[in-house]
This record gives sequence, structure tokens and C-alpha cells, in this order.
Amino acid sequence: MKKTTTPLLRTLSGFWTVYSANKKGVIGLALVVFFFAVAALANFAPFDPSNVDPSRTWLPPNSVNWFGTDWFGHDLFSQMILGTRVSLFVGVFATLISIVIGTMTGLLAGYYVKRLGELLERVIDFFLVIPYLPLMIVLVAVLEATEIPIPILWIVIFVIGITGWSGTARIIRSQVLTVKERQFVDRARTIGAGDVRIMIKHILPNVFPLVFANAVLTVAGSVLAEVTLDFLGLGDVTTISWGMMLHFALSNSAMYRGAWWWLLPPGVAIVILVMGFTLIGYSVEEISNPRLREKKF
Amino acid sequence: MTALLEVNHLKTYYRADGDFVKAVDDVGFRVEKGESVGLVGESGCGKTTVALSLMRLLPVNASILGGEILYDGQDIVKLSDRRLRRIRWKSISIVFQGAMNALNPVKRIVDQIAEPMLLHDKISKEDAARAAQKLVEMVGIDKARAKDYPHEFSGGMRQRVMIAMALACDPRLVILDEPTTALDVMTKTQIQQLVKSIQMKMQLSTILITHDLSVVAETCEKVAVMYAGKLVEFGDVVSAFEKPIHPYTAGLVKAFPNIYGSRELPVSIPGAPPNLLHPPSGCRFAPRCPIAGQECEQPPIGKTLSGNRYVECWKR
Repeated sequence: MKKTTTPLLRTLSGFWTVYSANKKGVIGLALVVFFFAVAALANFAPFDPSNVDPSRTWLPPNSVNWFGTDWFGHDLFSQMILGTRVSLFVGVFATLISIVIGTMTGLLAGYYVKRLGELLERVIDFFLVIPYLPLMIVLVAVLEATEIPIPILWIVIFVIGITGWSGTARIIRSQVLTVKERQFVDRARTIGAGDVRIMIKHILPNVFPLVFANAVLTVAGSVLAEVTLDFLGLGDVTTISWGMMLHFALSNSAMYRGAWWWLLPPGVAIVILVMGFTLIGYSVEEISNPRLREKKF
Repeated sequence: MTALLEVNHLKTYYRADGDFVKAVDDVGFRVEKGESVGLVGESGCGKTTVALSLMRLLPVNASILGGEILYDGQDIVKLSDRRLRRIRWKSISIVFQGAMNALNPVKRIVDQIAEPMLLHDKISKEDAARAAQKLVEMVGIDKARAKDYPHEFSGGMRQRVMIAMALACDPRLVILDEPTTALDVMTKTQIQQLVKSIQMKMQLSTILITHDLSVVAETCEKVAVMYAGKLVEFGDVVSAFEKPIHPYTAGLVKAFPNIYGSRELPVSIPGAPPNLLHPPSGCRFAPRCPIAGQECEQPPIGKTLSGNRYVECWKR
């Protein structure tokens, strides 16, 4: 075997060797990388997406407006590109909140099984059982009505984040329950490590692959949640996102006018992006759980 | 001169269904400075419970109900948690049973060896890493491997890592709980020699827990034989194995094949150890003892015979 410099590099390259053999994973990664590239290059969009041109409304796709124009004369191609940025931004930041809350709750609930664990378990149950869509709608509506000087975009991120962590918490908790019974945890306690140190330095690194796999799957869920909120008109109407495009398409009867080019691109993009994240999540799960690995003949 | 460690009348019971499992019942022995003591007995006789009691690392359903554990004159049983933490690892450390599983799979071994130093000594991360590196070399592992992960090591090497970790804070007494079990004969010998040489170099005292009499015979000066939670014999290794006093020790020695002298078949001890929830009221070995008599229905009183040999038996 070729000698590499550090164990970290060796681990990463080892991971890539296994990962690149997973077809689903590679496809998912390619899709997600594509959307991130589009988001990064969004400043090069051909038109200002909020620019209204009354002489060019309801145009089907043509050589100037690749995805056509809407009722206001916005260039839909540019809107799609900038919408990618917003959707990914919300998806990633909401996931960060979810994963931090979920991992911390899961760690504590699994480590202190007795009193605190019981309490946290009930909280996790509550968030698992409650239908998250009505909860999100109510939360967003209430928070927007309070007139706190926070951009609506961040309210949306916050609400998606605090409603989407329960699944992660449950999974991390169950894994912590098994890891903390392993002997190295006893050893750590023997040499004088406290609870916090054991949780962060010994147990967390052992459950981290699970955190990662979950995070990727949660991004898919968060993007969908963001689209849903925007579509229902609860998002920021001044920010262009895929959900907002669908919202305006619907409220301006794009279907009735036969303007398929207004509805189709955001719809297809949402499906592909979510699929990309889901494929990555599944393949990471497969890799960390050998029993799910694709059988090769 | 006082002994480094003196255990007197130690009683450690496990709670089970409102009753007590008398895992360690009135056990006492001494470990002098630089001396190694072997603790032998069959599975479930309380060897590991003694070891865990010495460091007060017992599971929640067990507790020390009596006796004293004097380390350098201070009673470990009565120490506050804070003072105890100072003694643990700095003065007494332990190599766990099945030590291969006691390493965190996702941390580099050098960091794991350095961890006790970071927790106990005021030492910078760099110094701790450097000291850990030295320990890695001392236990015979190539220093280039120090930054590897546990799964990249063989069982014997992981055992060496565990020994390095036990030495991290310069202890005076190391408890080795079955350090060579599950290793092959060659590796076993190497580990034994390693322990022995480190012990000489660092003037360590060790307590070696095992059920393998040959290991004790090769590496220890004293031997403590336990049966069903009782210490039945304690004394010098050579005389204990050549002229065992207690019938159980004699049985153990006979059950091992002798590589010198006549070709005798090993003789097993008939019967099974008693249930420690309700042990026999008298001598616990009496039901299996070839020389048991009337008086053995009363608990035997420990006595010290010539040659400083302690034994608990009516018949001797």
C-alpha cells in the first residue's frame, strides 16, 4: 500500500475508495455538487431576477430567456439560479440547528438514562409525534407577527431547525446507549475523566458517522420544508426561492395559462436536489453499516 | 517497615434480589514495595472483585461492607472521592481484563496514553504527547506507530498499549487483571517478560490476577489463593507450590501437568464451587475437600504458620 502522510489523510482516502465504489453515492454527490456550484456562481446569472420587463411577459423558453418569463416579465432562468442559493442556504443552516440540538439531546438522553434521560425521551417523543407541518406554520406565523427585527429568512431557518431534530436525537440516543457500555468508557472513567469529557471526547467521536449520515438526510428534509413554507406563502416574498416561484406561479394561475415553463423547473430541481442528498445519506449509511452494503457478484 | 498495600478483613458484597452475594468475604494480604503478588483462583472466586475494590471501581450494585485497604498508611475505603481520584492512576493503576477492548476505536493510541497525564498532572499537551511517545517505545512498540489507531494493532500490541497507559502517571502499584488471557503462548511470554523488566526498572509493585499458576510461578514472589470469596492461602510462591498447605492449593497444583519428574496425569478437584448467595456455613471448601472432618462445619480461623505462611484450614 502506498504510504500517505497522516492517519487523517489515510482515513479520508480510504473512505473515498469505499465511497467511490458506491454508485448511488457518486450520483448523489455529483447532483449535490452541481447545485452547490450553481449557487456559488449565482452572481453570473444573465439577468437581475427582480427586474421587471413589461414588454416580455408570459414568454415560453427562447434564446434570450432560456426558461421563459413570468407574468411580471422576470427572467425565470435567473430566478432559478438565485433560488438555488436560497434553498441550499436555508437547507444547510436549518440542518445545522437540527443536528446540534439532536446530537446534544441524544447524547444526554443516552448517557443519563435515569432522570434526565426520561425527561428528554418524552420531549423527543413529543417532537416525533406532533405533525411538524402545522407546527411549523403556526410557529412561523407567530414569530413573524411578533415583529422581532429578525429577517424572515432566519425565522424560517430557525423554525425548520427546531422542528426537525427529533429523529436524529432518537438515533443518536440508541447508539450512545450501546457505546457507553463499551469497556473504553469504563477505562476513561477509571483514569479520572468526568462525564462531560467522556461524552465529548470518547462517545461523540464513536457516534459521529451516524451524525453525518443523518445530517445529509436532514438537509433533504429541510429543503423540502423550506419549499413547503414558501409555497404556502409563509416565507419572505421579497426573496426569490424555488418555493416562492411555485407560490407565484400558482397565485398567477400559470397552470390555467399553460405556462408549464414557470412550474416545471423549480419542481424538477427540488426533486433532483432532494434525491441527491438522500442518495448520499443512504450510501453513507450503507458504508458505515456493512450489512447494508451492495452485494457484488 | 509498613507494607505498600495492606488489605485487612475486606468484605465486598453484591446486592441481588434483596440478598447478598458474598463475592469477597474477609480477605487480607500484603504487598511490599517492589514485590509482585499473584492472585489465583477459579472463575467467580472474587479475584476481580478484590482488584476493583482496591481502586473502588465497583459496579453500582456492589459495595465494600467492611475491612480496610491501607495504601501507604491511608485507608482507601474511607477516602473522599477527591482524594481517591488523586490516588487512582497516580499511585495505583490497573490493566483491565480483556484490555484489547478497553481502547477507544476512534482515537490514536498516543492520545489515549497521554489522556491520564492530561487529567492528573499539570502538563501541556505537547509534553504529554512526548511522554506518551516515550512510553510507547518503552513497551516495545515502534514509535512510528504511535499515531495509529487501535484496529491497526494486534492483540499483543494492544496489550502493550494498555500497559503503557497504566504506567502513564508513574504509579507505584499496578494491578494486572488477566493480562495474558486470550493471547498466544509466544505473545504471553513476551508480555510477561515486559512486565517483569518494567517492574525491575521502575521498582513497581504488582498484583497479578490470573487462573494460570504457571504465570504466577514464573513472575511472582508471593501468591494469594482464593476460593469462593475466601483467601485460603497466602505466602511465598515457591513453598506454596512445592509444599501447599491448604488442600485446595494442593488440588490446584495437582491439576496442572508437571513438566519435570514422573509422568503423572493431572488430577482434577471433584465438584463445583458453591453458590455465593448461600455458601456453606463452615469451611467453604469442605464439600469438595478430601480431608474434611467434623470440625470443618465451623468456619476455619486463619493462622500464620512457620515461614510466614497464612492459611485458613482446620486440618493444618
